[in-house]
Amino acid sequence: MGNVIFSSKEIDKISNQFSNINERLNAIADRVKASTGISIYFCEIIGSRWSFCAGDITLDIPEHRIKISDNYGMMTGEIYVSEKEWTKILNLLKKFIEKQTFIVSL
Amino acid sequence: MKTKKTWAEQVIKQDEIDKYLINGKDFIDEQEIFRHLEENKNPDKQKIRDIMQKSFSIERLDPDEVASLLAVEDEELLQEMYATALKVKQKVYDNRIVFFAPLYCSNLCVNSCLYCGFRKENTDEKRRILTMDEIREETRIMTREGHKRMIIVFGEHQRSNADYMVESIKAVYSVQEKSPNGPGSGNIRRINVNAAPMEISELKKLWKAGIGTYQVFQETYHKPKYKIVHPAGPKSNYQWRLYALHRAMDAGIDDVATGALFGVYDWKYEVMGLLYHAMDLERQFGIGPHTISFPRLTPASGSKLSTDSKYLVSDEHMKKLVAILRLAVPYTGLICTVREKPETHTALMTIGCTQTDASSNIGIGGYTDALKAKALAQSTGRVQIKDEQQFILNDTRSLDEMIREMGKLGMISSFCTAGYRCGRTGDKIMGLLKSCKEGKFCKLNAVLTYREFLDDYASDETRAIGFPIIKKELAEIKDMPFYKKGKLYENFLNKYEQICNGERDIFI
Repeated sequence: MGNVIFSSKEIDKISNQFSNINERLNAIADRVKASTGISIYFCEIIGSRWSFCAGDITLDIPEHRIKISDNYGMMTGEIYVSEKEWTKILNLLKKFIEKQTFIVSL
Repeated sequence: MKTKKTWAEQVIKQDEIDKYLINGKDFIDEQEIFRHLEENKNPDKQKIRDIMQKSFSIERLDPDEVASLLAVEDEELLQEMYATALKVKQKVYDNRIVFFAPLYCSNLCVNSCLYCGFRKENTDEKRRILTMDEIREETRIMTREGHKRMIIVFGEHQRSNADYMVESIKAVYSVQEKSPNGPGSGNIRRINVNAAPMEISELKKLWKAGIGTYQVFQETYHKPKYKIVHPAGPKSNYQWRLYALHRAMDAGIDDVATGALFGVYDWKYEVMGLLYHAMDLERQFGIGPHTISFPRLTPASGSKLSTDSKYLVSDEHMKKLVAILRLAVPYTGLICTVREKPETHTALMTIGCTQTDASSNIGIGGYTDALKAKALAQSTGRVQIKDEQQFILNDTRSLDEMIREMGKLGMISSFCTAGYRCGRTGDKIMGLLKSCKEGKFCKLNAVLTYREFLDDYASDETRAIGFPIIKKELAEIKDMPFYKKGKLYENFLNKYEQICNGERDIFI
């Protein structure tokens, strides 16, 4: 895959198109897949439970389990981008989730 | 003057029944069930074989098809059904049996179920509700035996309400107990809950406590019989119970489990009822039940019905109904319990069951009491205190013994709790089960958790049977094309090595 075309602005744009968090996460997962080829799905964390909530439901063999906040985690397929780019994406996702949690808690 | 409603009178919320009715009706149409049973009384052999083929393609069967299977009496066809049921199980879940144990927290109950020792009129029953310290102690004993999965059980009562349940769940999850043989400690990694139907707001509390599956048995799907055996209390409301799992789904609990108490009414009718229940959950939520249980009526303290019912199910019919359930809902787990005698239990495990309990004690505080009694009597047997439990268990073998028995049958025992910690829940797991992919993960996680058990808890005899099974499983895993995708095999081998080196609770 080439350069990652994935920015904070773009996430905000996606976010504004949908009214609930799962729809937003679905759209973000689609965007990540389209720009990087990486399949991801998101889980809501409740105690030890990671409950599927959005993303690529066809991802059958995840390779990584990543906690992105106290309430959300992510399963991903093979990572096709450099470590630097992946860290950038993860940070964007973390920020997005933080913002959502903040909005919900308001 | 208007009298204040009691707690029990306030349990049912009619609007949380009505919202699920279709044209004002629930999904159990008795006449329709009887018609299916009547119209399919004499199925020909080819039809039965076609139905089995459909099941082997991992498709849920329709009522007419299940009714046809229920009518089979031909011995040759029955044997084919048993064999196909096992093949279906292996295709979806591989060769593993998942183990768990129940923890009964309270026998206080506001209901009057005629088959149950907990019913409020039973004055022989010694009433007790466990404190959090007692729950932790019970958990420690279960954990020391090697259990990782628990079903926590509560009678329906104001004192064992959702808040008490949440506290109990937290208490269980807080326990870490040093394993007797191995280097590490063990803990309960998944708690499933068996509790009375609740309103959605209460169910949300359970959900937030991080439960695995929420389980409610309808007991009987036959409405007139239901009314007779549940004469009073919230449980006397058939529809409140019928939609308990629907409400759970709406509360966010996407793994739900149902069951029927076989022996209360005609077993063929109950199988049809379970099918309709699965169908309605699929229709309304896109997800069927995670598991189905089929406890059989066994003697209960002070319950005449538990020994006198004219619908008691024979061993042969039990075997048949389990095979039919396996074929009817191929992607749903089937739970066999130690209510069954050891020989029946073994027979049922080999026709398609996926889970069982073991070393169960169903008395309130039963694990602690049994340990004390055992120490006192220097006895080797398990102790059942009849007037503190819901019914009588017929299989009191230890977890180690049961795992050894499964090993002799060539089955690998599993304590896997990976699925619900990797987002393989709800419709995600249903998709994986239907496409026979979940079983591949079951196989890997079975090896990881079996190895943990063998190292930390097993007797020498069980280890002698267990290690060759692991060797065989590892060889199969190495050769299966599925595991060659991506880094799955490499990841698995790394994790297996970590387990062998003493790390614990590693999953894939």
